[in-house]
Amino acid sequence: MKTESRLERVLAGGHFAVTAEIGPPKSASAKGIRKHASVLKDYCDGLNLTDNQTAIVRLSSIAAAVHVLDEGGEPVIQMTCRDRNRIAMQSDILGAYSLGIRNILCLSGDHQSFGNHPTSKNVYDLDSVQLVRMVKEMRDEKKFLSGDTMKTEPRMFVGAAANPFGDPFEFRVVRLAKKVEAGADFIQTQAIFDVEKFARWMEMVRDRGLHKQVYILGGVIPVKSEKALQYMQTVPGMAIPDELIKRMSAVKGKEAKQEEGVKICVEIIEQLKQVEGVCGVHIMAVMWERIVPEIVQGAGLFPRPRDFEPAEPEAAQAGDD
Amino acid sequence: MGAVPKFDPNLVVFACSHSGAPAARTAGEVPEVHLIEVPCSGKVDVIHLLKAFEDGADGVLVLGCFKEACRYLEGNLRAAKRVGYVRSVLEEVGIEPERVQFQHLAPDMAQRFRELALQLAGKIRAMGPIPGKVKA
Amino acid sequence: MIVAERKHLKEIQGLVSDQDRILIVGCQECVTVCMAGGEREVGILASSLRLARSREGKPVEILEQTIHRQCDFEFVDELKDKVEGVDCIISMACGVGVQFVAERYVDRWVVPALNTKFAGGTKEIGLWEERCGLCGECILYLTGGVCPIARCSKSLLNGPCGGSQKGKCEVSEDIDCGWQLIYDRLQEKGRLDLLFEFQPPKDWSVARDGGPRKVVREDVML
Repeated sequence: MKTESRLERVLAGGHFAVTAEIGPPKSASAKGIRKHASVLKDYCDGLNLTDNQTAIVRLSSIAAAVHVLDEGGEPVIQMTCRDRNRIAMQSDILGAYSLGIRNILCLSGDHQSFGNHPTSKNVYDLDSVQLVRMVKEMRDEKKFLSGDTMKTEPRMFVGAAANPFGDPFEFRVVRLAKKVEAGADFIQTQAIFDVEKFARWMEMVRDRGLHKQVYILGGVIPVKSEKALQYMQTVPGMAIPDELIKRMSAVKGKEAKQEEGVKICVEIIEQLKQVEGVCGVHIMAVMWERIVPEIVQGAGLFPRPRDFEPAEPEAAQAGDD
Repeated sequence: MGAVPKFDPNLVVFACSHSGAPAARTAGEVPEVHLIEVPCSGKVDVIHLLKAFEDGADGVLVLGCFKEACRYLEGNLRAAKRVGYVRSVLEEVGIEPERVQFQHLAPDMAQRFRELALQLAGKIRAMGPIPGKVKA
Repeated sequence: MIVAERKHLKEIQGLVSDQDRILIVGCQECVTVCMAGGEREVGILASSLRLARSREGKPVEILEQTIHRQCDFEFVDELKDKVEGVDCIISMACGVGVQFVAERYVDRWVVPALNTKFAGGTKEIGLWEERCGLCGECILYLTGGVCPIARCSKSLLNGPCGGSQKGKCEVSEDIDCGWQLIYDRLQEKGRLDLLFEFQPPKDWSVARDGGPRKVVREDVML
């Protein structure tokens, strides 16, 4: 075991893992995060806290992760390369670990032009592949990017994203390979609606043997109506089959649509379970976090494995930095 | 506002020697018009039009050949685009962009020339002189 | 070349609203080519300012001069005679030229008429595009001659982000994905292997982040 991450234990134990996303609020209150965490912690092995997602200012992912810890959940902090340089990133990684955070997802980050501060300056001192390598070397070699050494290393379980639907399609697996080589322990993919296309990508992943080197969690999004699907069809890097939109449109009534959305999501998870090399599922029910338990139960993934000791206390001792 | 004082607008017409200029000569004198003959409307640059306004023009008309008829292939099209640019400059300056116009003409369209000149003169008479005109 | 674009007249007018004698200085290099600050544009700005100021009832006296290069004191010195007669200089050069003029004529109020945009080239007449990020350490040999610093919206070094779709950037359909361009170019050349290698973090200290940069060639110094 590389880390004290609960998520790592679940994956290493051969269980089909479940993670879900909690979007921190655009305000200074932790109420919502705590409420979601207290419910979701029993249904998920990891809870992702997004990092100013879509470049909209939100409560910090590390702070949100501490609230999740307080509620007994296992946080996965997301960290984008958009807003911080290598100094701030390393500092935040040390700080996050000292607070009890054991998982990090390394991302490029949505461009600031999408968000509510389009006139801001982006950083991109590092890219996401370089960030993965940096966190890995901090952990395994106790080294800062500069080469300086540290006494207590942040033993993070390192994640990265992969988009099986982005272009150039053939390069997507190469990019995954680069992330694995850089040191990614787990991968959470872009939301999958087109399972067929995803399966083609996984075939390429298996051809390179990458599924044996990294835990791949397939991303899913439950939708409440066809409108969400239609919108996502316009988002770069998303693949939404027309049949799904037709299927949702055929259902009438708000509640019936929501039920259908959950049904579709559960079906996709069932299909993903059958794809060789998929080790878990990542549920991104942003603004609809409360639906996650129903999906996890529906997909036959409840209860979650609890047959191991809780993460051991932090190795660091007072005075030892 | 009291009675509008009588105002005789000065029009500067840049006319292509293959179309606008012969038409103007046939049409005879139009009192408001100061005619400047150019070898091609494409020879007229932005600065020439601005200078015309600086030197006291209340309106400027550029006359070029019909689309396919330019001796120099695209001189007329360039002139039309430059007039468009000058309009944007005038707008920035705070002068009505309609004070400058581009029109296509053939050499035998004397009557049309007179119409165009009088139309623009009428329009500009209604607008009045350019405020703070540089030169009278 | 350095590509620039003229500021709106209103802004320039505001910068010199209390000036009555102005010298507008053009530059015959890059900004002439990108039609922002050459002799022609100097004439247009001068005329526009005169018209605008007359409209306000505050006529202004404007001198015009376009020199070979504003980024060279040798040529900036040629302005000396005309500068004598004015209180204010509007430079129609890039930010470099403005600073050279301001540095030479410290007792004059020097203002920029242009917004300096980028290092780029003429794609077609009337269209200029950025090509170089001026990062100080060229890696075009790794990327098939397409610069990821300037042409990827996130300046990524290890391939496209998840937002690349059908050759376009997630930022806008008007922007080509820089990494798609790199991929295509290297595929044509049979050198996709270059993309498999991990590219380490860049040394930004040789870029702008290291402070104002200098190039010294002692062999050509007098």
